[in-house]
Amino acid sequence: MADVLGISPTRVYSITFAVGAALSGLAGGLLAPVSGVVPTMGGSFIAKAFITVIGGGSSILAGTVSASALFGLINQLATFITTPVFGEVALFIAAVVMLRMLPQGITGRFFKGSL
Amino acid sequence: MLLGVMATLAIPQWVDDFALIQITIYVVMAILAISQAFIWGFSGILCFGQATFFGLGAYTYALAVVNMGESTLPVLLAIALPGMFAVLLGYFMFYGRLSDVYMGVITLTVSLIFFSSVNSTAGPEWRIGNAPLGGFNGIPAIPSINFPGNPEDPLDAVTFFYLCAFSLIAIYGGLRWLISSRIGHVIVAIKENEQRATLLGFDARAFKLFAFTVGGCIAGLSGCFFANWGSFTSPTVFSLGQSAQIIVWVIVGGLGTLVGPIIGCMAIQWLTTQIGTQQTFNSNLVLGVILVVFVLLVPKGIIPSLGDVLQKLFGKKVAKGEDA
Repeated sequence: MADVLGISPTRVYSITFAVGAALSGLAGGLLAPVSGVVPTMGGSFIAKAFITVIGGGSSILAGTVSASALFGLINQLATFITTPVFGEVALFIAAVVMLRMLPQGITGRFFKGSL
Repeated sequence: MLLGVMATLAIPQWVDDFALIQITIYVVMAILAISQAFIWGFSGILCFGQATFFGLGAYTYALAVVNMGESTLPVLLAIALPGMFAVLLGYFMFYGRLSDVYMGVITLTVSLIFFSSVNSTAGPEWRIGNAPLGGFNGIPAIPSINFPGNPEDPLDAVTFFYLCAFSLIAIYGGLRWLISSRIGHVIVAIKENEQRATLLGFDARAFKLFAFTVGGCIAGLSGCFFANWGSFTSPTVFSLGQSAQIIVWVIVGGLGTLVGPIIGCMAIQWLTTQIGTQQTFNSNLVLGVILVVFVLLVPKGIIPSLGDVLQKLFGKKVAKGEDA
């Protein structure tokens, strides 16, 4: 549809991917002084970033902020009550349950149309 | 399939025990690859967490055989328990009408849940019956499968190879029969267009659940054989790397076929072993390059592309004959 209207999808995809990669690079650069640099330093963030974004829904800011606030809260509560590993497990279980109940993410239901 | 049977009977005559043990692990992983091939290529379920069932099978066998001593019931449990978990997880996902991406994320997350939980169970207070869970140290010294009813008689390398290879052939035959039966046709129809199948009156959720459970049981059996092969299992069987490897095998071998992922799995495992023997390249680097090359240049995978090439060569000859 967008193609028919004159927008080039490949160009838009390329620019989007490049901007996403640049943002990830920025995040890595900000993390580097704090945690030290190893080739595999991004690996532990893959799964959590994925579920936060999908749990957040279509809004970029409001969705990610609300999803990360919710998951972070559950994670830290569970870590406080039990061990850090079970805090992670609680985060994953909460993510699974939330994905089942709200497949469109948080901003698919609440805060619709926000930034 | 006949080729497979002949190869299975011939291989132990030619190769020595060490190479036979290597080939056995290729066969065990091929069983895992065929489970992913079935649920992805024929049922359209993108499951990023097949390692969950693999690991569940391995751990179930390990814990059960350490507790019971005799190995027939643990093997059956190693098929049944991942199957039951697949039923639960599948019910949770499919009856919520979740689509592709969310299914992938949920299965990925479930495998991570298992990985994190089992990883932290080191320490003597974590045990099931007599067997310590071991946490990140894993469960060492797992007794091997023995002949039914005879705990003192474990299988040797050749017999274990026969067991794995004939299981692979039986599973392949069973899946082929299932796909060509009425249930299989409905499952493929659901993969092609779920809405159309539902409008025709088939309950897509139940059929997808059935396919998912079959895949889970097969992966559990593969996990049981894996625990047997190394007499050791650790939480890495649940890891992300294991799930990713299975997906690479299926993509390289050819999505939509059953033979393709078997060949892809064995080829990549053999390649990894060979690269490991020399110092120039890291095996992960080569695997990554192979995956990128295959996705860009041979997107259908080895077996379908080979089929196309053969069709072009022989198809043309047939046409020329008709011309003359």
